[in-house]
Amino acid sequence: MKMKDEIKELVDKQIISSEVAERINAYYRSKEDQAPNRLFIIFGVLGALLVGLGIILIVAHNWDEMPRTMKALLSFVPMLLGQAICVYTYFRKMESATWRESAPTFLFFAVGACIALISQIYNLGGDLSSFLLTWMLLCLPLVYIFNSSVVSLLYIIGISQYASELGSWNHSSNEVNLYWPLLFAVLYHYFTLIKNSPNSNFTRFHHWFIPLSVLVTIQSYISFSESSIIFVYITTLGLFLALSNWELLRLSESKFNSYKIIGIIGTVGFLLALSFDWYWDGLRSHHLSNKTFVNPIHFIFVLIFTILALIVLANNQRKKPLKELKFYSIIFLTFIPIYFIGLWHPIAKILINLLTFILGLTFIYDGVEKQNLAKLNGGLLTIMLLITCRFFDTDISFVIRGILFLILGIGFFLVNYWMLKKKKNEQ
Amino acid sequence: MNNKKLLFGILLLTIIAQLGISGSMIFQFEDIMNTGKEYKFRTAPIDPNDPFRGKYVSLSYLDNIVRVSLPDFEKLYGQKVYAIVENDQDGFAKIKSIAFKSTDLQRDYFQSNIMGVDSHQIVLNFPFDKFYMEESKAPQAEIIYNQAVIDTNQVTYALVKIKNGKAIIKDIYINDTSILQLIKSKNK
Repeated sequence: MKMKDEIKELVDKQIISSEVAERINAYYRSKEDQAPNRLFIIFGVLGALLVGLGIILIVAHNWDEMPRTMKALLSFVPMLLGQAICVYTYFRKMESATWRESAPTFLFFAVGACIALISQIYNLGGDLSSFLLTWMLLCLPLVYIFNSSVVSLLYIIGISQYASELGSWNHSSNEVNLYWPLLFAVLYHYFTLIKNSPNSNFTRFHHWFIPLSVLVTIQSYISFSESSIIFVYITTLGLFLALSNWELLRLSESKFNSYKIIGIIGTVGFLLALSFDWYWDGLRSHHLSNKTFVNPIHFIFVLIFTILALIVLANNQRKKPLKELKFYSIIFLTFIPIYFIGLWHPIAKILINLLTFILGLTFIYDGVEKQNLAKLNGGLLTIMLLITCRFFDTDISFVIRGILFLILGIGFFLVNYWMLKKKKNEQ
Repeated sequence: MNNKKLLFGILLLTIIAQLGISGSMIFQFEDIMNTGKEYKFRTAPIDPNDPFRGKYVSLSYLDNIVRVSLPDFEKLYGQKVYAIVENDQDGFAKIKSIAFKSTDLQRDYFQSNIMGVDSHQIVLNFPFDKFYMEESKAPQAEIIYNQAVIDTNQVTYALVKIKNGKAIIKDIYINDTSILQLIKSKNK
């Protein structure tokens, strides 16, 4: 309606002729007809999710009076219904995004419900991981048959939970390693989404789900060694930061770069945690008692992720001057020598504090240079949190702490005020 | 057109796999229920602080400790093992020994995990630790079961069918009466 009023105004003011106005109206009418009704897709998917979840809730309901075989056969009903809907969708409704997302989503939950019902009927306890693995493998093809992003996201959640379950039982790394080929199996769909619709909501969700899934899975390896797992986390976050500027992911086109946000927040968080004595004292005593530098499995991950990050960084930096390389992109490399120093000497803690402080300064510098308030405040926050952490392990009186906080707070305001004034003057 | 045919072929295979795997699970478990060997596992009181989960009776077992000395026992927590079962002189099941591989085991056994370990014994986690019931009956069942299991005059056990390394609970008994029968008679 608004567009029509605008066009009418242009015609009235003789900016465009009435023939041109008619052609513009016809063009936008044809666009509306082709564009899928997004609200319909959302409600369709929500409806399928609710129906699917309702079926899952039926899992909690036991049927004592029925013969066991009858219960087992009835457990197939939701799955058969889901399969029928999927076949119908395949032959009749593949052009509709609503059907292509809703039908396989319903089948996804129906398959889970069937396996769960069978487990309940036969009182199978224990192993949630094998249930999840079977469920995910049986539903993975639906991602590609129907080009379904909802099933893809549910699949990513499922395999993350699968890896998490294995980690809670100290399974051998061979079983947890199965997560990686499971993740790779869905990456083709992810890259197809980026290529065809880089700014769609489904693509954005994938940009968040995949790195978070990887981070959740890494904690499954924690039982192998608690000290060196942090090495793996920091290297993984370094890889995310490298990927955040990788042109293939087209993350620069979106407002919120998920890999960068997760990478920066995670790196700052870990650096702040490592700025305390507890980690380095524990690392030295573990090294002294076990005579190991780093757990072999963790070492392999660090090596692979470091190589991948360096390849991506080199690709990002080609044809760009070295001064454009951000400090936060390479900070994970500085952790490698600090880790090994930390095996023998407490100076590692001081180095981490210095590293965190420099990182904060680079954010502030970057924020000032690009007149970006978010980066500026991020840098100030990093330094403020570092100082706050030091308050906990140094003997400074409350009065001095209070004064220091006041100075920091006033500094925060002044820097922001100065930046805003500078922006206004330049405009 | 070829792409559409290929995708339909994959869809068909997926449907067959979904039906086949679910069907084979039922077939396998029915086979265990019909032809598996029965064992009576004595049950132990559950942690009273464990919040009731509503849909099943949570079970814990008396005879899940095996006296054995193993090298590097600290690394064995969570390890998958095979518990070899035999009956004691009272006709109740006990764990004779454990094995780390399932090949060439001539006796009845089931897959388990090491839940606790020290220098002279290991504690096993039995996979048959839940007995599902209709949700209105499960709270009642758990009350009856907990009262019985702490009363030393009463004998509580789970009747378990074992075959080819798989174990399934058939029923829970209190003094040789099925818990479902006890609930039915209480509700009359």
